[in-house]
Amino acid sequence: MNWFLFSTKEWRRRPLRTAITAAGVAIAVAAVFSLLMFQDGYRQGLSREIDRLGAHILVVPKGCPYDAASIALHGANWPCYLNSAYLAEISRSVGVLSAAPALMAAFNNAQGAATVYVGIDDRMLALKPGWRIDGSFPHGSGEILAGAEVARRHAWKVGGRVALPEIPGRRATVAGILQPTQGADDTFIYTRLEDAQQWFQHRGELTHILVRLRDANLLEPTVLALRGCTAGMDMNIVPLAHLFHTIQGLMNSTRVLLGCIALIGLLIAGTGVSNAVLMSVTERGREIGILRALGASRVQVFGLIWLETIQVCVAGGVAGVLLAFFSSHAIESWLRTRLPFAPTDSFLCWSWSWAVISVAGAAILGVVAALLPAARAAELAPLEAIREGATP
Amino acid sequence: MSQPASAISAEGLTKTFQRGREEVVALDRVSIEIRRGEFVAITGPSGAGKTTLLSLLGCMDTPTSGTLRVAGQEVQSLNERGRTRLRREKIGFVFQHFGLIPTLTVAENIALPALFSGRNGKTRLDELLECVDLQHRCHHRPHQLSGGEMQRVAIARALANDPQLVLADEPTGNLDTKIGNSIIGLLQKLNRHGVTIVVVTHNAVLADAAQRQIALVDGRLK
Amino acid sequence: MLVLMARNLWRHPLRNGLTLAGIAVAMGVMVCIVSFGDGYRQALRGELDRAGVQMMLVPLGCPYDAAVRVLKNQTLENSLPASALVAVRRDPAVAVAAPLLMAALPRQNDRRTDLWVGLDDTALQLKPWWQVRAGQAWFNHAHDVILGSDAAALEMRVPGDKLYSPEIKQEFRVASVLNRSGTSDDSVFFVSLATAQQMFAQSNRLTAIAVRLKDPTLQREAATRLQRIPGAQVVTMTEMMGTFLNLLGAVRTLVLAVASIAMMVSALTVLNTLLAAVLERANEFAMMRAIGASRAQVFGLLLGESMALTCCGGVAGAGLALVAGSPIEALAKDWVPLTPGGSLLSISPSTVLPCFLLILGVGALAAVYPAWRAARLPPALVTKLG
Repeated sequence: MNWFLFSTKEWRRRPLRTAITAAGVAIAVAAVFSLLMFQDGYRQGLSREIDRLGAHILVVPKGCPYDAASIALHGANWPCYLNSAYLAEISRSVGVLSAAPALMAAFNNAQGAATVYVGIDDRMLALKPGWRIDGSFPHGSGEILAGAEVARRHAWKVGGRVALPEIPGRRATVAGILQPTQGADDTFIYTRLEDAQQWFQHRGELTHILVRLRDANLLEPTVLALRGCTAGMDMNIVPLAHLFHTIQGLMNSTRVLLGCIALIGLLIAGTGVSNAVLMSVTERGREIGILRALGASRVQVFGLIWLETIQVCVAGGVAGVLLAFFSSHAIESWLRTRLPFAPTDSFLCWSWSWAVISVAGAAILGVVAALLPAARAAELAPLEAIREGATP
Repeated sequence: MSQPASAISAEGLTKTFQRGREEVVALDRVSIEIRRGEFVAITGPSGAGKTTLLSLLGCMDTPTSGTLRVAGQEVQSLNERGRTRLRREKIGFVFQHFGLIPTLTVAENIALPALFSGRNGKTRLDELLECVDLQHRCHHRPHQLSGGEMQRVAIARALANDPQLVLADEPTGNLDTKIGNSIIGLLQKLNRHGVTIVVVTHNAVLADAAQRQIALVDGRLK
Repeated sequence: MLVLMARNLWRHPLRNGLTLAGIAVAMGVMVCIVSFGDGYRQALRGELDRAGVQMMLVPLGCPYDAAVRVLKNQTLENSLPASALVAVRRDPAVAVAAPLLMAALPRQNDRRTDLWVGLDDTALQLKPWWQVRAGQAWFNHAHDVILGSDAAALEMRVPGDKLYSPEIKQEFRVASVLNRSGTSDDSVFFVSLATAQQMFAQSNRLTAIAVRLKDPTLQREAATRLQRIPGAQVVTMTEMMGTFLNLLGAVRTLVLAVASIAMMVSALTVLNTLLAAVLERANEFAMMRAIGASRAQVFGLLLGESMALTCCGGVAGAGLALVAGSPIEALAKDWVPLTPGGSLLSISPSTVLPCFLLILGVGALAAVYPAWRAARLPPALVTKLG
């Protein structure tokens, strides 16, 4: 028998109350922990996704660059187009290692599932060192490179002749299949640029250009040069590093706000804990008197109540962390519909340090919430033990 | 250090307290002396101040005036910490309504005083259980015990820290006659082993079982 | 009945006080969030309507970001070529095209940054709040400067005074001071467009062009045409409002989600408090049943107490929101994209009432189980507990 065990026994007395108190803490901690998971996960997910593009600069038509970047990353239809003629000028610009053109077109079927085609040429390969192709890159007209997910869905094989989804009457040869990249590339169908321009009736046009620099440190001057050239007058030159920082900044502000609210939730849970322990102390007046009569000192009684509370809070904290972890998938799906820019990767990632911090936070909450009730308990006189009549 | 012959020595104990606007005198200049190894019963009608006297002797309250020595220690000038220590080391208390912690087993209840004094509760457990004849119930919780068994646990608990003095407040008050008699027998057995016992009681049988009776009426010795 | 309820609640001031505090905080948060969106939307619409501008031409980059910065009188990274202005004015649908050049002038000595804006006389048509407090109405000479009311106060200048800028190494004459307009124009130093272009070595560059159309309904066609102008992009005010409100909506949803978690937690607190009350007063409830109260009446009593508690909590929360509203608003102004001059937080009966009803609902829900327990206590319990 020790103090720790003694305090856990207390839970048995009113299990429903203890459960409700712990549940309150759990919910509040789940909210806080989710936010913490989100903080790291989002940054990592976003960064990884942008890296996977393989470009330092994205050249898009005029209009909101965030929308454009989102389309380039996830695949959708573009509101306007670029002139292919500008490609040459961009490629020649100082600091540019490779400028890969792309023409993207997306089709939604009746169920809302999208099929995305991207017309590219072999300059794209320089930007995707991580690509592993079973088969080969499309060389001739009518050849396609299929992403792993698309190939799997349609059961395509290398060398097979297939009907192109959503393009009635068009057939092509699967020249190659991409090995899984864990990204949006798996869901795209890559064709030759000329084919795409012809099939989708956008001859001489592009949707975007991915630019890779010779030296990533020369981002600023290269962007300036690009903006200054004739091509630059009709296009948006979007340095992806800036984009990343701006989106991050937006997320950060939102996060701070959400964090404040979550902390308020924790505060309210704290009042609930304080309340519950206070009620418990009041009910146990006689018992506490007995403990004192048996020789427990004031400090020991204070410590007992304190320990009980901290235990309940820690239990609630652990439950909250687990709750957040197991519902992270659901939370993520919901967040995806709400956030203006969400990475395709999972952005709620488990982290031991945050989990420990969350539980520690719950413990600290217990420490503070218990102060008043524990002080009350310590004040109870041993006389309570032999006082006649019902407990107050 | 030589052990003093008297367990309790009280001189002119007075206890008054406020009830609303009137001042009530619960005890009026009570002087008693109880020697080591005695078995004393404090009797008297309801409201006579018996419980008040017991709470003073048990160092749970301080007298308004008068001197009190318990187990060789001056009590009236002692602070709360000192009284707590005295309760822990030298006194064992048995309450009328058993006073067991419902969430703990018999064994854990008995081990409580040891927990408070920082000792290992297991060392004397078997001995205590045997003393009150409850070995077979040691893992049960209070709601699974009968009244008599609960009181026996309370007595074992009172003995846990090997006290010089055991104070009992109406130990048979909530028990039927037969069980009550078995408790009386247990107390006598303890007394034979040298424990000083002071009981407050209405029960005539218990009062007779004691070696000496102290009668209180209206806060004064009769 | 009400007196009975009140007295019961008063029996445990600390316990009920804590529960009440929890409810109040949850309510306060809710009210603030709900009130915030409304105020913003109204104020934004108001400010944009005042200018009478349907679209703006801004440099390449994020158009919404650029438009916001222009409206807030902050500088931009890029600039437009002056040729864009010519192209805009040539367009048949355009009534007024007002160019401006904005530049920030950091003052080394005073550790602040002044905003200088170059305008031409078309700007007057788009700034109805442009009222001169003292001095002449426009720039007569090349180095005339018109000060916004706050700028004038800061520099302690009146019309006719000289103003020297050590950074530009140019002396200006204060032509006039504007009336307080409540917009960001109050802290701006206005000069003529040509002067600004020369001052900041931006000849033939512009920061933005504000456009008013002859017929606002032809907005879409005009926008498509103007979008083709090299080096510039178009952002319409409706688009911009739409984007911001979407963003705001997204943030609000997230915040509401967190706030509802807070509310859930306070509901659990109420549940706990009531359960304890039922246990404690089992005797009482049983006695009431014994002397003839029906189950429904006991249920109603406990439910009523819970409602009374949540009611007080709700009122306290509304009060809390009113008090805490101003400091929160001050905080929010920093990172909300467009902060129009008016108040962002409009706490009114229409925002408080739904939150209040919600909280009452939550309180009622939390009370159902305990009240049901209380109603089910058998009258015979009275004799047992005695």
